[in-house]
Formats: sequence, structure tokens, C-alpha cells
Amino acid sequence: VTHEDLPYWLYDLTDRHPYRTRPLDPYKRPEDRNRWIDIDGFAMLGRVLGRLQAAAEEEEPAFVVVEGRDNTGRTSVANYLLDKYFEFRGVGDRHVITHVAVGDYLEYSWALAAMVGLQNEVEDKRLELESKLTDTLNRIEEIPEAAYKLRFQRIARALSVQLANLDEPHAFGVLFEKVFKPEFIAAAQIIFQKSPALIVFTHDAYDHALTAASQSLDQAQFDEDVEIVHLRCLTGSQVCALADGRWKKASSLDFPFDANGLNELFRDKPIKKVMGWLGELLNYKLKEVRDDTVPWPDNKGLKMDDLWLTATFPLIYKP
Amino acid sequence: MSGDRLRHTWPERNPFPAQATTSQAEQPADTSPDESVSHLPTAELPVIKRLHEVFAAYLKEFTREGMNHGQVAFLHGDHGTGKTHSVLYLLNHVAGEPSKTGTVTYRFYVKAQDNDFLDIYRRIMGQLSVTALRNLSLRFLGTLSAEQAGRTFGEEAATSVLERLRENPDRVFALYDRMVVDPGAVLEAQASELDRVVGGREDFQRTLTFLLDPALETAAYEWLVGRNVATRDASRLGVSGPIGDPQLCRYGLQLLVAMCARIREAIILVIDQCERLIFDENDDLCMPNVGLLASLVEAVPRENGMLVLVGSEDAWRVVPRDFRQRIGLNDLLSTILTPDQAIELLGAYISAVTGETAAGDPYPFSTGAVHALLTASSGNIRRLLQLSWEVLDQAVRNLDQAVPDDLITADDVELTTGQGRGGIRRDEAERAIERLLLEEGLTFERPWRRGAVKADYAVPSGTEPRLLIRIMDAVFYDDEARGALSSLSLLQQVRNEGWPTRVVLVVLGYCSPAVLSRLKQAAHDVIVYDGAAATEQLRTIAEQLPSQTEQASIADRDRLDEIYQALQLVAESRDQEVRGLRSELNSLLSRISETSAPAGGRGNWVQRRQQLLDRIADVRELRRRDQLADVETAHADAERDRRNRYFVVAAVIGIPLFLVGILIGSWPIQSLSSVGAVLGFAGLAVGLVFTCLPFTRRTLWSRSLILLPLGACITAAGVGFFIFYLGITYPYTYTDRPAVQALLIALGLIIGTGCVLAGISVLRPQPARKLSRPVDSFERLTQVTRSYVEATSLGTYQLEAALKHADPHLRYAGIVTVKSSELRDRTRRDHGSDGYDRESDPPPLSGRRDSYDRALARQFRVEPTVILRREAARALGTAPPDLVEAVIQDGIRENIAEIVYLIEIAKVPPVSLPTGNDQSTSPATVLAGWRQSAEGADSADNLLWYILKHAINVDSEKEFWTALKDSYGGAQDPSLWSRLRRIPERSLRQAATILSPFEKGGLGTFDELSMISEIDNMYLFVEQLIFYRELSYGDEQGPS
Repeated sequence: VTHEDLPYWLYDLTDRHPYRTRPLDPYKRPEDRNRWIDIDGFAMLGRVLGRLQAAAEEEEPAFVVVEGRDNTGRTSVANYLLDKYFEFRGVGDRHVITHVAVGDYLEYSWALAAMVGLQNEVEDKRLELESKLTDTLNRIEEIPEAAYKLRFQRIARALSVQLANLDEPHAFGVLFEKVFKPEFIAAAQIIFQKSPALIVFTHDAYDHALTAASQSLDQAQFDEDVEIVHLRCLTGSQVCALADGRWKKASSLDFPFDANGLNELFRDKPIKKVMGWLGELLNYKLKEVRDDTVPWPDNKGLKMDDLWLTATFPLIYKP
Repeated sequence: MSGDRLRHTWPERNPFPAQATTSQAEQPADTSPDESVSHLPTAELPVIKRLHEVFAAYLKEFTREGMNHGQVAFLHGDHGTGKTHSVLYLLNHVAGEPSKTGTVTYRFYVKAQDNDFLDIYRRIMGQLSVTALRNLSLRFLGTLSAEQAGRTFGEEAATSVLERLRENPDRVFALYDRMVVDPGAVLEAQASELDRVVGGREDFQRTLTFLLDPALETAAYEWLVGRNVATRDASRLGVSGPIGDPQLCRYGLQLLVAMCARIREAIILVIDQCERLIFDENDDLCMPNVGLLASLVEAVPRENGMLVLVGSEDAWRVVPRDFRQRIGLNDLLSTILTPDQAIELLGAYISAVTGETAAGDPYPFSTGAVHALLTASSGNIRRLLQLSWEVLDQAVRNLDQAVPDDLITADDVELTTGQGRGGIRRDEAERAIERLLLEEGLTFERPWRRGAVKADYAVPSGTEPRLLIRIMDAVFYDDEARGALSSLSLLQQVRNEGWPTRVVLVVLGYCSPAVLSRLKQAAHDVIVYDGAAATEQLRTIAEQLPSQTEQASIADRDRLDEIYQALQLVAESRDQEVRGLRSELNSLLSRISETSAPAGGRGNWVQRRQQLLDRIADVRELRRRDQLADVETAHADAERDRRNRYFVVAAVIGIPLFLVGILIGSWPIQSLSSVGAVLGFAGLAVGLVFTCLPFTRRTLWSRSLILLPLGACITAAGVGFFIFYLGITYPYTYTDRPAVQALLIALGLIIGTGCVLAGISVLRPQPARKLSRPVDSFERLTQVTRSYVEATSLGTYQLEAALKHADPHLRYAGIVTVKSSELRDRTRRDHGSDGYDRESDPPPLSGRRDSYDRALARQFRVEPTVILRREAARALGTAPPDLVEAVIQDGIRENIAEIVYLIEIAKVPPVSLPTGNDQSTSPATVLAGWRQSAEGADSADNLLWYILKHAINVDSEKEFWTALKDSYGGAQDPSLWSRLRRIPERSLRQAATILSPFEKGGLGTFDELSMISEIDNMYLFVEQLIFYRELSYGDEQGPS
């Protein structure tokens, strides 16, 4: 335990404070699976999870768009859905995931990035594919752009079949960060049409030229095969539920934040910002405790009441 | 004669520019002053002074909050009057560091070559490097991010963020990472702004954003500057293709201006020789380009940028009136010189070389010679200086021979100009050099550049050039030394590279012995280009080139340094001379300026006032035409509907009756003709359906669907005739039906013919026919309407029906009818002077009149044309007070502008203005408020005071404004002036807006108000105050 960690440990926070702003990613950090909090009325994933379970059972592809404004937790929700999908498939941690940061309007380039990303993941996990498929993947850039969708479709299907036929069956999923235009999703549907896999897209719910209009996603650009998850800012009660839930998963001590104060300060704010502020407030308080005469590990020293929160927040919330 | 002269010294070198034309390469739009024009001896000619004022006004105003703080100017004049020189001088004058007060960071100068607007766009945008454009985009994003931060953290935080971003624009990404602002929200704000600027073209926002992505930076830049981009790159950027549409170019320029203005940097766009855009190759007006320029003239100042168009007199004359109106007061005329000005100008140039100061003495030119020069040059400054160079050059050659009394006379001038070489032009020399190189079979590159080494022409040989040619154009005589120094650096660089390259310097027109001898020591060849002889010199060099294996050596480094020092001294001494020349020219041309411009600010105001009055008259005329055009369009539509209605009735009733008659005559129906019968009745049914159903009828009146029933009926008619033919063949079978048959056929013919005749108005009375014709003026409309009403004796019910008629001419009859006036007159006669004696028994006609007034009030609310709304409002002036008050309240609440006409004339108790109305400065609210107030009972003069006090909350007394007005805008009374200065300029501008005859919603736009002349006077008075404020800036004493 380092000197810096000590205050956290004394307050039972062995992994420092539980309010991290980085997206939850069980694929990279299995412990993140435990950090997921079901917040009533936030993502409302019941229907989507039902669809994913059905798709997993019927070995069909599933397509989900996670839509929201900046910092509303789109990537975390997308990763959570991927994790649940693999659970439904019964493959657990035996899966291959690639994240593609879509950076331009050329569908071919991000589709290619997805295929190459999957191949890299397969190789990193030392999974054995048939040599013919490996050769095809190695020469995937040679596939003419004019016919790439159907050729990629065959490759994706072969990949899914071969991963499923391994001694320890595997499945794959793709996360496309950002949808510039609805045609992206239509193209992905063609490519992964015959592959039992989960394809998730995140979408900026803004009205500008660098993102697909939300209406266009809702309309008949693609049929009911695509599920859309809408993420919004948190309500006051959701903020409290989130802060309390995370705290309880990290510490056995009492929840230190005053609910009214949190409600007052953070309602109608996006989840990532709320997490960041909670973390900063806790750090600030721990520092205050450390510098003050309050004896630790008495948890009363951490208590943050309404008045304290309102007075302290402007000190840490600066541009 | 020589005894009278003050000068006795001939200039030791020719002081005039051999090539008195200013050229400017289009350069990167950077912040530094341009060395190639910074040394130009420029004086404050009247036109430069005025343009300078426009520049100054722009730099003072463009940072103000909001829009429309830009400027636009059109500098026009005949060729050679110094337009290009003026604008380049001023562009250079305002060059400076970013955000430094009084300087312009982004200066774009482009000279049109033809009427290709896309080329103009490319050459303007091409002056920005990738880095500069990226920086602009990033700073634009930074400004929006700071504003976004300001909404969360407050103004102070926004300012602090903005300052940090100004130091390092890339910090905007840190703001995103730290979640201070949401990138999506910033892009959304950007999209909202761009929507206005680029007409919703998403391509621009995409490329601006991808410009910040290193992977797509180059492609985005290429697209934004109008170059071709590969299809794949276009797909990656999400754009439809390269910018090829001139409209997109316009949007691109607007975007450039808007971005600069948003980051609080001044931007000046100059399009020189814009006549090449305005006229096409056949010298016809190129309307698409005129439209584009007109759009820019509107959009650039709106986005707080400045646009300067430079063009010929012809160009200025042919552009449409509204184009010129948009230029407004900034049309700047570049004029020719007077004889006195010419004498002083030449004297100033000569003094700079001789060191003798003698105003008004152009020695060695005689006064006659100057007049001859002036005649030969037509007063054109450029040509005058060019000819002076030629004449003096020739005189020096002949000095030993025949210049009597050492004085250049008119004869000498005529002799020289008669055989003059016409000046040495750079393009002429370039053509000669290129022709020669081609004739010699030498491949060349132009312009040529390797690293820092630049030349105008290079004949390559492998990786090294065999021959480099550099052209030195001495625009003004101090250029000569500068050009020489610059050429010396070329020689130095060639030597440093160790190339065996022959370097030839071509000096255009003139090179003084001092400089020439130095250059000859340094370069291989120096050719003073003055025509064919110089070309032959160059030919000799070129001919030697292929066989030349050993190059003449360039002077060694020490020698070059020595020559450099010597030329530096020459340059410095000439700099001093130039400073003296500039000073003298400035003094001279200030005097010119004083004599040619109206004296003082008041003189300018007189001119400006006249321009405003002209513009008001123009705009009113246009408005009247537009309003009448609206009425006439609606009338034409109604008339067409009426005719169609008659024709359809003729088709669906007349023709079927006719056919039924024939069918009856043809009975019994034989198997062959049963089809015809079915079709005939089907046609009848279709016709009836179309006639009876309002929806189909509405469609039918105005659409080609009328062909459907007509076609059906004609088909039926054809079949019917066929049957009739059968009937004629066997007449004995139809003997019992001729009477019914004849009756139906006759009835069908009568109805059909009657409807057709009614449709073309043959059956209408003469006044109605006149009323149905189009009119060319409002007065004519009033006259035919009154004739119609007189002739038709419409009753009240018909008048009410007329108010709802589709034809605006008839609606107008319902509004301005003589009958309604008579109706009121009768009522007045019977029931008291005001006609509204409600306490007594109701008058016999009051019920009917009330009904008519209510119909009129209803029509006022729903009337689509401005003229009729206005007339309805006026007609309501004599309606019962309670109705008038209700109509006024409704009109204000529903924002029906023409309610002001009723407010002006209504004799009603104070109107209680609608509550919650936030349009405190709307014309109706202002006028109603004023009429209710104590001031309203006074005179129209008090309206201005009311507006300032109540609508704009300026705290001042009525007496002050009266005194101010009496004192000619306070210009003559310092005490009034100092009080006036305390009133914010913004308030004056608000008052001008409320009274404006130009801006939508201004009181002055209600052209038919009876107090319109008073309103115009008030508007001009406020404009005068603003004018003086602008004129005096910080002057506490008022305008002189």
C-alpha cells in the first residue's frame, strides 16, 4: 500500500475510489463486470437483452445502436451488451471483440478495419483458423472495393463458423464507435448477415453534419433487425442510485454523500461527468480529512452533507 | 525664361517610373506587410483618403457584438487612375499582427482574369496554406467552445478559456477530454451558424472538421480551396464532389469571412478588375456573376467582413440599381488629374532626385510640356508618369543636340509621344523571352524554384539549371536598387549551390548607370529590356547556351559582398529620397483632396443626405411596384379561375345537353352506338362530379385537369355525331322525336355559347370589363374601381360579398366603394356629426353599416395583399370606436403591420395596448404609444423624442432635441454636442432602425402614412447625428 493509497484503504476503498470515468470494459478488465449498476429507468435494456438472448439462441446476428450525447455512457453500455451477448451464447470469456473508431465516411475503410481487427484478436488469442481463411484474411485488402460487402460477408461467416467449431467454441462481436450515416448500419447488416455475432454501434445524438440524424436511424433505413438504445442524462434519483451502488460495491462503510445535495447538483447531467465529479469530491474530502484533525478511519470524517457539497462543488468545477 | 525658373538642375537620373503600374502577386494571406508594395510612393489622393476612411470605419466596428458591422466598397474609375495602386497601398497599410488594434490579419487580393468565378475562389482560398486554414478552423472551433464553456461557467470563464485558446488553439481538444465542453454540442453550435452562412451545405462542416484530422487534412484542404479531390477522398470526407458550382464558391467565401469574424480577426477581400467578372467574352452582362457578387456584397458585411470591388466605370454603370444601393455611400470614384495637380505631381517626383524644393515648378518640363503630357495621358496618373519617363529619357539622349534653353517643351513631348514606345510592360517582355526560348528549341520552366532559389525562367539540364532568367521590374525608381539587391541574393544562392548556371538579369525599361555597373560586375548578363534590341541580346546568349561547356563565373563571395554593400548604400540614399517624395506628395495631394472634396463634415452630410433621399425614393418606388404586382398576380389568378369556371360549365352542361338531344334523335340505340351512349353519359357524369365537388372544382380551375371532362365530352360528342349520322341515313325511324331533340340541342348550344361568352367577358358591362383588366398603377386601380362601383350601384350585401371575392380588384371595390362612404354620410346626416350616436335610437342603416364594418374588419385580418390591407385599415378609420379599438388590439397582437394606418387616423379613446406584448419597438406599438401619450397630441416632431424616451429609454428632455435640431444636429453648438455624445450610439442606431424607410418594420416603410414626410425628416436627422458621431470619433468639440 503506497502512501497515496493509504487513506483509501483506511476507508475500505482498496481499489481507490469507485467513481472512475473510463468506460466499463469487461473484455479488457473482468472486474468491470462487477461495477455495472442497473439504474432504474436509465438505459432500459430489458427489451434489447431479450432480443440478444433470442438471437444468441437462434445463432443469428444482432445489431444494436447505442445512441446518446457526449458522456452519456454509450461505450460502457455497448461493452455491457457485448458481455451479456457472449453470456447468452454460452461462451463466457471465449470471445473475440474488436473496437473500430470510425473516422470517415468511407464504409469500406471501417469494414476493412473491423475484419483486420478481428483477425488480430484471433491471432492474439492464438486461436487456430483454417489456413485458407487465414490466407484470405491476410489478403483482404486485395478485395475490390466494388464487391467488398458480399466478399466480407463470406469471410465473416467462415470466421464465425470456424470459431464456433474450435475445441473451445468462440464467438465474436464488433463495436463501431460513431455512425456518420445510416448507410453504415445497412452495410454492416449485409456483411454480418450470416454470422451469429453482435454488432454494436454508438451514435452521437446531435444535429450536425458529422453524425447521422437520429430521425434517419429511426426511419426505415434499416428494418426491425436493429435495436436502438437511447441514453439520456441522469435524473436526481438515478444519480443517487449510481453513486450509492458504486460505493456499496467498493466499501462496506456507509455511503458518504448526501442524497439531496447530489440531486441538487447533478440531476440532468450525463453519467460520465457525474462519475468524474463524484470522484473529485471524494478525493477532495479525503484530502481534507487527511489534512485535518479528524481521526481516521472514523467514517464520519467522510460525510459530505448538502451544505458542504454545494459549497465545495464550485471549487472543483472549473473550466 | 530661365531667369524666372526656380530650378536649374536637371535630375541626374530619371525620377519617373518606367512602368508606372502596380502589380501584385497573389500572396499568402499572412499578417506581414508586403515588401513589394510597402515602398510605393503613395499620397492621400481623395479616393485613397475615402477608402482609408472606409477601412478605418471597418476596423473600428467589426468587433462589435452582433452582425452587419462589416463594410463593402466599390472603387471604380477609368483605367490608369490608380485604383489598384490605391487599394494595394491601403491593404499593406493595415497589415499587422493578429488581433492588434487597427490591423488586418487576413487580407486577400485577387485580380479577375476572366468571368470564371470558380477561378477567383480558388485563387482567394489558395492564398491560405494548409496550416493557416487549419488554424482558422481550429480557432473557430475554439471560439464556439469558449462560448459553450461560458454558458456553463459564466462570462469570465469564457474569456479566460478564449485567451488560453488564442495562445494555443490545439488546447480545445484538452477541453473536450476534460469534459469542460461537449464536442458534439460545439459541433451542433457550429452547424447552426454554418446553416446561415453556407445555406445548410453539410460538406463545409465536414471538411472543416476533417481539416483537423491529420489523416484527412490534405484532402479536406484541397476540397475547401476548390481543387479537385480524388473520388475516394471525396467519399472519405463525405462530400459529393469537388467545388465546381459558383454558388458553392460563394458559400465558401462567406464561410471564410464568417470564420474570421467569429475569431475576432478582421478580413478584407479585394477583387480587382471585377469588370472581367461582370462582363462576358461578348461584353454582355454576365448576370450569374453579377448575382454572385451582389450576394457577396450583401453577405460579407453582414458577416462582419469587408469586401472591396475594384472595377472600371463601365462595370459600375451596368450593375443593377439594387447592387449599387447595397454599396451605398462607399462607391468611390477614382478620377484623373487637373493641370495644377499634374504640375505639382511632376515637381514632387523631380524634387526627390534633385533635392530642390520648388512647389509649382516642374523644371525641366515647361508648363506647356506638362499640359501636353496631360493631354497625351488624358489626365491618367499612370500614363502621365510613364510618358514623363519616356520624354525625359529621350531628352537626356538629345541633351547635347537640341533642347532649347535646357527646357522640355510641348513640342518635345509631342515628338516623343508620337513615336513613344508605349511603356515597358512586363507581360510584353515575358512574351518576348518565351518566344525566343521556344525559337531556340530550349525547354524552360516558369516560374522556377529550388528551395530558396527562385527565378522567372529556367532552362533545365538534369538536376541543375543551365540558364536562369530573372526579370526586375522597376516600378518606381527606388525599386531599382531593391530589385538589384534581390537579384544579388539569387546570384549568391546559385554560387552557394555550386551550379554552373548562367544567370541573366532582365531589367524592364530603365536602369541607372550606378546600379547597372554594379550588377554587371556580379551577374553574367544584364539586359535592360526596351524592345527588340534587348531580345536580340538575349538570343545571342541563348544561342551560345547549348555549346557552352564552361560557364562564365559569378563573382566570388567577397566581391558579391562588396557589390551588395554598394547597392545597399544606393538603396538607402534612395529611401531617403523616397521619404522626401512621399512627404511632398502627401502635402500636395492633401491640398488636392481639400480642393476636390466638399468642405468639412457638413459638406459630406449634404452629399450623404442626398444619397439617402435618392435611395428612399428608389426603395419606395420598388415597394410600390412590388405591392401592386402582388395585387395584379392575385387578380390574374382570380380572372383565370373565373374564365375556367365558365368554360367548365359550358363543357359539363352545354355539351351533354347537346349530345343528349342527338342521342334522343338517334333512338333506338343500335348495338354499335351503345358504346357512344355510355361514353356520352359517362362524360356527363364526370363533368357533373367535377362541377359539384368543391375540391375537384378548385383543382380544376387552375390545373390542366380541365382537359379531363372536356376530353370526355368531346369523345362523347364524336360518338354522338356518329350516331347522328346513322340517324340521317335512316330518317324514317325517328319521326316522333324532332321537337325534343331540337330543344335539347338548342339549349345545349345556348348554355355552352353563353358560358364561353361570359368567360371571355363579352357579356359583362363595360365597367366590369375594365375592372377585370390588369392595371399598371394604384391610381388606375382606384379609378376603374370607382367607375365600377358608380355603374353597378352595389348594395350593402353585395359590398360585403365583394369583400370576400377572390378577385382583389373586386375586394378593393368593396373596401373603397363610394357607396360605403355614402352609407356613412347618410348615417352622419341622420344621427349627429360623428355618426356614432349610440345613445339615440338606432339609425335605420346602422345595423347594415355595422355588418359591413365587421366584414371590413374581418377582411383586414385575412387580406393577403398589402395594398388592400392598408386600404381596409384606412377605411376602418370611420368605423365605431369600439370596433376600431378591437381591430387595433388584434392587429398589434397578431402583428399585422398595416394596422399603423388605422392607428394614425383613428379617432378613438386611448387604446389599451395588449398585455404581454414584447414588441415595444414595433411600428404599431410605437405609433399607438405615441398617439396615446401627451406628446402625441402635440406635433409629429415629438415622435422622435417619444421613440428615444419610451421605446429606447434614452433619458433626455424634449427641449434638448428641439435645440439640437435647430442647431443643425448640434454641429455648431459644443455644449449640445457634448450632451449628444453622452447618448449611446447604439440608441441612435436603434432610433434609426425604428424610423428606417429601408429596414423591414421601420416606420418609414409605411409609405402612405400621411405623416411620412415628417418621419423621413426624423430619420434623416438621426442619420445626421450618427454621421457626425462617426465623423468626429473622439472629438469633444463636435464635427468641424
